[in-house]
Parts: sequence; structure tokens; C-alpha cells
Amino acid sequence: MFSSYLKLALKVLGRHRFFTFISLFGISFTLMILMVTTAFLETELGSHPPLTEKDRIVLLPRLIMKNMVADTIWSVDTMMLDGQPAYDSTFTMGKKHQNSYSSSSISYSFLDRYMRDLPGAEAHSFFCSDTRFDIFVNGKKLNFKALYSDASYWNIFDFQFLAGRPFQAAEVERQVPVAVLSRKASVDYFGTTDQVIGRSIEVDGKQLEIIGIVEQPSNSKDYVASEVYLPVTFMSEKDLSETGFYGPFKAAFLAQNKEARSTIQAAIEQKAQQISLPNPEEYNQLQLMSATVTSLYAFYLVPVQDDPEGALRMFMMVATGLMLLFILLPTLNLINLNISRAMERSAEIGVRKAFGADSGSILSQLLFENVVLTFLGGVLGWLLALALIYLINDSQFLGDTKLQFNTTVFLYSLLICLVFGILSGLLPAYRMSKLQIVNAIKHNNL
Amino acid sequence: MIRHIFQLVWNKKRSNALLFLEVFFAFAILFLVLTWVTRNLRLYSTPLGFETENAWIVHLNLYEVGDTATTEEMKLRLREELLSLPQIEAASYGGSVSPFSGSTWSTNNDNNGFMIMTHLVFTDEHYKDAANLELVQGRWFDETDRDSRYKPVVISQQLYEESFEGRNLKDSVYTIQGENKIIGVVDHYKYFGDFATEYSVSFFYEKPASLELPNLHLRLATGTSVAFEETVNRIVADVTGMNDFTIEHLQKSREQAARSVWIPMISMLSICGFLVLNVALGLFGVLWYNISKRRAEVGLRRTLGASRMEVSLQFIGEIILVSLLAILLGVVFAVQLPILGVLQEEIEAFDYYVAMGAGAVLIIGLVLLCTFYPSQQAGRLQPAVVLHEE
Repeated sequence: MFSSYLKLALKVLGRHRFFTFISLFGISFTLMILMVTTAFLETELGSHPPLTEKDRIVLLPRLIMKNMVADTIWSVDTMMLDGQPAYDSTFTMGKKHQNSYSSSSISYSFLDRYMRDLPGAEAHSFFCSDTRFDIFVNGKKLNFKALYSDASYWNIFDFQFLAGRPFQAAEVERQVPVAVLSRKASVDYFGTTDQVIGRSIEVDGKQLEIIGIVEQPSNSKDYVASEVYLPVTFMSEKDLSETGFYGPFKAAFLAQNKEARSTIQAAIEQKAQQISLPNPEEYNQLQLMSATVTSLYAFYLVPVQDDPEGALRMFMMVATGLMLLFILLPTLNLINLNISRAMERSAEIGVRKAFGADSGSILSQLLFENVVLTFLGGVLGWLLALALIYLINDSQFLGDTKLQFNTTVFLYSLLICLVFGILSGLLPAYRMSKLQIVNAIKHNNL
Repeated sequence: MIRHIFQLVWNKKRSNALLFLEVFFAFAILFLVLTWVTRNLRLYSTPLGFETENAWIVHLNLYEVGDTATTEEMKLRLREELLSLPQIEAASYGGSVSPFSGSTWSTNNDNNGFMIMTHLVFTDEHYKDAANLELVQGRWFDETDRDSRYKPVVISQQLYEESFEGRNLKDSVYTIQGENKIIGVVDHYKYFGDFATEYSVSFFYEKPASLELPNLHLRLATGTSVAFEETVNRIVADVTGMNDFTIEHLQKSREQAARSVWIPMISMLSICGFLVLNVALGLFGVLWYNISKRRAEVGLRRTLGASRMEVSLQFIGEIILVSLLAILLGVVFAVQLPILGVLQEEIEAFDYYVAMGAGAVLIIGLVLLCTFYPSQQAGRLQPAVVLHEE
């Protein structure tokens, strides 16, 4: 049964080359774009180093101070009471609104004081990720980003070490001059990643010994992307001792499990309520913007002010809408084509029905044919996607972000193929299966 | 004729419904993408207002300095020393809000009896030369502004049009940030990049030595070699005794800022192009098939005296009617966006209407292109042959 269906399907495809070409073109390009998009999302938001534990990470990138004031409304009613004017005054507090606002990353001392023991957090790290240095090597300028961190940073973000090791708590504390380089930085600076361990690099006027080389992280996440990683104690004394709330630091927390993330986020929010502000006349409300890896990513794409969760919702809505619209169009197109193609075969179907085939078997045969066509398109689309990904990576179209085509993506694509095939085949197949035998045979010159 | 076509379309409403939906969604996608593209291109077409070619910015870190007087003196010495090089044509100190950096400082008030909304940029008297700003009114800062009673301000043309058009600039003191005298107007200052909305900008004066101005803007002579940067780097390091400064090439930053718009724009446009091509091919196939199903009808019409042209026009008319109806429905939805002012700050009504027009024209053109050949074929059918088949 199966093999005869398959044979039939291939025969039908071969008969009308032009129609087959149009269908295959539509299917393969649609699937190619879907596969490249899923590959992109998988690369950006999947679980792989340095964010294998992304579902357990909570980030605290920003601190916001606001001044909320309420409008006061003073109204006086006059009325005549016993021939005398009487006054009745009311004083109402209006809705609170914000009249000044500022937001920034956070100072080390603030994090040190308030963010050390959050319930649900297994580890925490405070780091500064927005310093840049110009470094000259053989007359060529390199602009290196430096990320200053403590030792627990390496426990939260599991960087893939190509060589060497991360720095340890003792080294951070004793200000041992060590540094970890990214692969790209090592290639730019030394021309190689071989035997770089033990050599030294000059950053900020200090000679640092290189103790590790990590695989280049994607540059879309500023809390992991860097060229050189240094112990936090190499930051200037002023940055570390600054007592105000604002500073160059961010924090990351590792939750015990996925669910404990909300415990940490709730605890951070609660802290914000308790901490008293240094000058309440200027600002009277403190907000700590915590985020998950995914919501922070969405926040950078769709800036909804100070609300990563809101940004994620909005992003999901827009992305799903676009995706649906995008799938809908080729599907409609295919349905249209399939109906035309199936109509042509009404005679064949009429004969099958006349010999006793029921609607169900006709339906499944036509659906099967469509799924075969879709899988054929899927294979083509997969090859096209591989080519496109290669081209994108080769041309540095997305900077340091390298798209990877992995099994997860392939499985998703297979699923997409199946859904696509069934979706675009269902309506035509249903129509055909309901065809009256008499009409089907009569209108055709067999 | 038109009533007749309506009748024909209505008779085949089931198969036309799918075509209708397809054109409708194609229009919807085209409209959304083209709106965004139109917006970007409209913004791209206005000038930046300052030059980025051969412009560098040395970002100094003045947070950690101890003694104000020595630092001020050091800043002036650094500028003098760099200016003495023949490759450097102009040098000016600016505040930490620098082009393409993403940082802003804005303020708004209605203390003057009318609304002022503006972004603040702090510069010294040399910035006009360093950035090649174009003045449309008044003058730029000069040394006489150092001790003026009211802080002098140069505003951008946009702020002028928004808040000061028709007001006396010369002798009035306005409250923008403190008490200010407006001494000049520059034409544009789109400091977020080519594709960004232009904001109203006010330049505030600070003296070059001030610690509020940590960025040294340099204008280089054309044809300066890349290796010259190392010289600048060494001089800055020697004079300031600091290591944590960076030198930014403004042209590079500008390209990078533009790239972040070009990339998604090109991706979206190519996806859109593919979708449209897909729809066109589909349309072509369906039409081809439909016409071959209606051979008998064509034959009959031809025997009854219809010309080739009339037969072709009938098929084209049917498809165009369905497409027009679908686009009409699309426009009914699309028109709500500018009417309701969706995303008003970013997208102007103009963008929506251009996208609507372009989308409609594109789809109609495509449909015409796809119907042309099959309907021509239909016109060429020989009545004797097709009627014989029947």
C-alpha cells in the first residue's frame, strides 16, 4: 500500500513539471527561511556555552531611581445656605506621576551591601562589562573590550576553554596579574591561539599573564561578550569604593533550578522596596530591573521601558504574528495550487471511488502525496538553508555571531515540514474526497 | 461589462476566495515591511548635519582625576600639542553625549509659556570647525561667551521650528536649562545616526578646559594615514599620563549604526521579495490551469463573435477585480494605522500612505504580469478546435 502510494506520488510529480517546480520552489524557500530563522534563534537563545544554564540565570543590569509626585487638587464649592454663602472645600490627591527619572548600571558597593545573600541563589557574580581599551600591536590598533569580574563569574557562565583555566577567588583577592582572552582577541593580538598561555598582554598599563583562552561568545549579549576578562580587583579604587548607587557594575545570579528564578527576582524586588534612598527629595522610588537571559535579549530588541518581561511578551507577540503571516502566505499559495492539481485528477479519483474506495482512503492518499512533496521540498530547503548559513557566516553578515545548524534545528524543521504538508494538503484533499463519482467521471475525457 | 465580470467572479466564489485571501495577505505583509522601509529611507535622506569623514574622538576618562586645576591645564596642553601637528586641522572638547554613543540628555519645560523639548549637547567654541556644522542663523560660540551673564545656547533648526518660530531670539532670555540666550541656529544634528529620528538639539557652552567635556573631537587633514593614530595615541598617553582612553573613528561608528538597520532591512526585503515571487508563480499556475479548464467557454464566446482582445480582457478583468477587492479590504485595515496614529513618534502618516500605494501598485503590477501570458493564450484558442474537443 505504502509503496504504491509513493510510486503514484512520484509519478504525479513527474507529470506536470511546471507545477511541481512552482510547488517545490515555494516549499523549499519557505522552509529554508524558517530553518535559518530557527537556527538564528537557537544560536542566540539556545542552551550552549557560556549559557548552558541560561534557564537558571537571573541578571540584574540596571537600577532606576524615580521621583513620584501626586497632583493635589484644591476645589471650593460655594452654595447658599440659609441666605448665607457657604464654602465647602475639598482637597484631593491625584494620581501619582513621575517627574524625574534616571537609570544606570549599578555601583559595586551597592551590590556588595544588598545583593550578597538572596534566597534561592546558588551563586552570584558582580562584573563590569563596559570598559574599552585601544591596544597597538605592530602599528595596528585593536579595540578590546575588557570585562572585570570576580571568580564566581566562571561558575555561572560555563565558558568553553580552548586552553588554560579561569582565574580563582584567591587570585582575584591578591590582585594576581592574570587575564583570560577570547579566541578572536588571541588571534588578533598574537596571531594564533597556540601556546599563548603564559605569555603576557598589556592592558591599562599593566602586564597581565594569560592563563586561559575561551571560545568567542556571541556579541549580542554584553554580559558575556568581551575580548579580555580581568579580575575585578584591577578596577580603579574609585570604581570599587564609590558609595552612590550608580556605577558600572551588573550582577548575575545562579538559581538552584528554573523555578527558583522567580524567587530571586521577587527577592530583588523586595529589596528595592526596603532600601532607603540617599536623597529622598530628589528621588523617592527605587526600582531594580532584573531579567532572565531571554527577557533581557527581548528587552534590547524591543525597548519597553524598564520592563524586560513586557518586552519579551511584546517580542513574542510580534514574532509569532510575523511568523504566522509568513507561513500563511505560502500555505495559501500551495492550497490554491493543490486544488488545481487535484481537480485534474478527478477522473482517477472517480474511478477509484467507483471501485469502492471510501473518502478516508482518498483523503489519506492525497495527503500522503502532499507530504511527500513537502518532504522533497524540505530536503531541498535544508540544503538551501545549509548554503545560506554558510554564506551568512562566511560574509560576517552578523558580526561574531556564528549560526550553527544542529540536530534540534533539524528536528524542528522536520516538524515544520510535516505541519506544512498536512496544512496545505488538507483542504484540497478533503474537497476531492467529497467528489461525486458521476460528476468526476463525466467531466473528463478518460 | 463590469457587471458581467462581477457575476463571473461571484459564480466562482469558492476558488476565488482563496485567491482573494492570498492577495490580501500578500498586501498586508508588503504594507508592513514597506512602511518600515519608507520610514528608514525618509530618515536616511535628511543630512546628518556634521561630518564624520576624517573625524576622530578621543574619549578621555576624567572621573578619577584628583586636582581640577592641573587637569584643566593638562586638557589645554593636550589640545595645543595635537593642533601643532600638521595632520590635525581642528580640535574641540565635547561632553560625554557624543554622536552614535547612544547616550542622551534631554529636558523639557514650559517655563517660558510654551513647550520646549530638547536634547542637550555640551561643547566648546571650536566644535563648529571640528564637526563642520552649518549655521543657518546667528553665530557659533566664541571666547566672549565665557563669562556671559546668561548661558549662551545654539539650537537646531528643528527646535527653532517647534518652539521659537516667530519669536524674538536676539534680545530675549529663555529658560531651557537655566537662563539662556539663544545666539544661533544650526541646520541639522542627527547624532543618533543616519536612520534615527532627528531630535531637537540645544548646544550649551562650556569652556574647553572644563571637566564636563571629556571627549576630544579631532578633524584630520584628508589623506592622513592610519598609522598616524599611533602617534596621537602616544601623545595623549604622554600628556595625560592615562591608559584608559580610546580613539573612536566617527565614520566607522556611523557605518556601524547604519549597519544595524541595513541588515534587518535587507533581510526583510529579501524575504518579502521571495514571498511575492512565490505568490506570483502560484498565481500564474492557478490561472494557467483555470483557463485550460474553461476552453469550451472561450470557444463558445469566440464563435459568438467576441474578439481575441475581449476574451483576454475578460480573464484579466476577473483576476484584477478579485485582487482589487482584496487590496481594498487591505487598505481599509491599513488606513487605520495612520488615522489612529500608531507609533506616531517613529512613523509618520506619510510612510503609511507611501507603503500602501507602493504595495498596491506592486501587487497589481505583479498580477497583471502573471495574467498576461495565460490570458493571451486563451485569446489565441481556435474555436473550432476547442469546441470539437467538447
